[in-house]
Amino acid sequence: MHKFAKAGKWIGVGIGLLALVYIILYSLGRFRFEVTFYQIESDKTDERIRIVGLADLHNWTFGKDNRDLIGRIQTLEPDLILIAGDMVVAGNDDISVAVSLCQNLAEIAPVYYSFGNHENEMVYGSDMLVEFLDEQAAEIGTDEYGTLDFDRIEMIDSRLPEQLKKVGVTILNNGAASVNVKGQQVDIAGVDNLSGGYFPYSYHMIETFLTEDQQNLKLIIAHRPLIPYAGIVYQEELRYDMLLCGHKHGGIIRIPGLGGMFSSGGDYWHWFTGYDSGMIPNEQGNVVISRGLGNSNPLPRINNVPELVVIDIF
Amino acid sequence: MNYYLLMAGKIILIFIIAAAGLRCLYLLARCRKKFMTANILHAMRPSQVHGKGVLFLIALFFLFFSGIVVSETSRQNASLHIALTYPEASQGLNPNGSRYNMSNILSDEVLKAAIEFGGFENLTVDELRSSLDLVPVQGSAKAGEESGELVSTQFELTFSNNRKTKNLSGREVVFAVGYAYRNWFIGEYSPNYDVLNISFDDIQSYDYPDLKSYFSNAIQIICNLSSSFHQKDATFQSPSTGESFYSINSKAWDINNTGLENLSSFIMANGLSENRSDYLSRLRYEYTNLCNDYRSTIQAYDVRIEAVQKYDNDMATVVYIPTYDTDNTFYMSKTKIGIDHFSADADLLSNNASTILASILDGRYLLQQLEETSTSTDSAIKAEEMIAVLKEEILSLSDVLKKTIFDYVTLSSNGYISLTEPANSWLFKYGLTVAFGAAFFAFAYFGRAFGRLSEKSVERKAGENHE
Repeated sequence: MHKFAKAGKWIGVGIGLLALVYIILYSLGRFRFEVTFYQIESDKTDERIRIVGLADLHNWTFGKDNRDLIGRIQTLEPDLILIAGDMVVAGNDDISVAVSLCQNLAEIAPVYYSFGNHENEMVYGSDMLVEFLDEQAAEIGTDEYGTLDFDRIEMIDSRLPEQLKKVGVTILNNGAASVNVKGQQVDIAGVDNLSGGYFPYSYHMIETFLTEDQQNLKLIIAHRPLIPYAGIVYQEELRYDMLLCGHKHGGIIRIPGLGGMFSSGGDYWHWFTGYDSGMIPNEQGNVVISRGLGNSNPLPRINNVPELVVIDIF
Repeated sequence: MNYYLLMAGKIILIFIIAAAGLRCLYLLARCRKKFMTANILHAMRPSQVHGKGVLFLIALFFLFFSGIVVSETSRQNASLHIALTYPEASQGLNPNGSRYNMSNILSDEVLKAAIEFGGFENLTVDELRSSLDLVPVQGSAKAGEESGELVSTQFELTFSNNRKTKNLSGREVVFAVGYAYRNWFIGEYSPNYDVLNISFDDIQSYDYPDLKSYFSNAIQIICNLSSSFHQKDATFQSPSTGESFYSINSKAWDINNTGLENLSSFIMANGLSENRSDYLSRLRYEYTNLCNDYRSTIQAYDVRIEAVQKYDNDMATVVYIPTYDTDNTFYMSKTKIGIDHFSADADLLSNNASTILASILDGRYLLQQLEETSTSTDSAIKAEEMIAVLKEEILSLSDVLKKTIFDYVTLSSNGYISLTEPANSWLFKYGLTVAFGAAFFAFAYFGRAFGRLSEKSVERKAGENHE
């Protein structure tokens, strides 16, 4: 009995220590964020255009009502704010954090938002899997080139897009918009589906977007890094100035020298997949992958401080 | 992490290590007095030390704690390598040939721009400078081509948090300073080709006969700029436009010699003018001035010729003097005398007179055309079409030159400055953590061993006293 009591005591101490370690690690990766700066040279613009990129907030807050985050973005004086999705948590009805944040951000600069998998599941009831897109294409049809109009997909919960539009956010789901910034026309497209759905439902939209008015700056928001590396890459002649991604949360736990440990894909985890953070220039353009601001699971972000990206194009 | 919290963590870390170390040394010293070395060594064996598991767990937790402190310290105290990547850097020069000065990285202008760039509130330039350190990177020096002296082309900028900069992220600060410096440097030293922003917005204020010089100025801008870059690199071909500076220069001259000449000839042949009477009045005035210039030039020429003819032949006899040329080779040189200067003057005046005469003939022809013809609608429409084509050609060529220069600057300068985080800084960081953990475990282990040995000694003495 004495042995069991002693063992039980040590197990309790062990669990307590592990809990303490978890709390410390979780706290270090939860209550602060850092800004990462990137610069892209372009002959299309004479003035510096500053873009702030957010991704993967997952209802986290930094300060009351995200005032720390909003305050920091305000001091950075962006010309555009791009949101690469996953600001909410699928299965959680709360959209107040995302809407409130967007409302404040819209007062700083024009906000362009492209949905991620969590928004897709919340709003449409499913992620943009190719089977789901095939069903939708059969139901609502596509244009002559196969492009699916995501705005015509039936929503099971329309609160998020409605409230975002109400606060002045432009939602780009398989669509594009144009804005004038400091005398330079900037075209922005948003696309999110798994690579199986890119061809045929999005590729023509992107092709048209990138081939028309090539003197304009071309920005793309694509929640998943799959889009540039397993989608647009097959359209070799296309060029973009910047493509903002998120989704991978920086690999959640970052091991020095090896990079991010985890990446979720469907029902299983991948290990050390790479392409989870940083600016990765390629022949077609510059891909910026944000480590994101939050997390959708209980794993603590270790050595992976939440990240706000700032991209200066000049 | 809060600066003061981190400071407290560092103090606790050092205190624990120091306390464990001192305790270990004290117990060792006590044991040395009472026991032989063999006993001490025996006591250090794992079989003699009880509670190793607990010690190991505590050491693990201490390792975790020190890892947090080291990681957070490095997050607040970041470094950045600033490397000069343009060709002239190895000679210690800026791209424009002036001397490079690394202190510009921490200048007021750059730091002010960095504060604005990073959005750091309530931070002054002096406060920021007090937390920054800049040194050349060891081993980055390259031998200058001419002097052979070692010239640093890479510098390490380090940020150390202090009470004034408190909660700033080191990484954010060094990158903000790095980018601010890079932007400042490019603004100062990269070629400025704003002149290529050619605009024809004011073309409506020019009459038809003035359009030749108007367009000629625009074409000249393209010619001059392309020529100057051609001299820098005659072989460069832009990957995006496929053009070289020479080809662009040639195209500009083609536009000048064909498109512009055709337009000018058309205007003169048809006597095109929007405000005929004013223009005629101006032309007549210019024509009169040209004629006067011609007459005075010819008279000056005649005077020089007369002076040459009056020169005494004996005075004109050639006299040779010894001298050295630019290769330091000795030779006999002819002296220059007055007749040489008069001849040179006469030659120049003759050329000037020819140029003025050509302008007079052009002006006379234009006056004649304007007086004899009138602007017809058809000729005006045709002229406008030709003007539109010419504008398009010039603007298009200007864009091509802009892109070509952009590519040249990008490729030749490699971006001028690159910013990278020091490689393998994480190795040192985590090596330090492991070292702390290992040191703590060692002190705790040996401290326990020596402590146990001391306790045994006390127990034995107590036992002996009891007996």
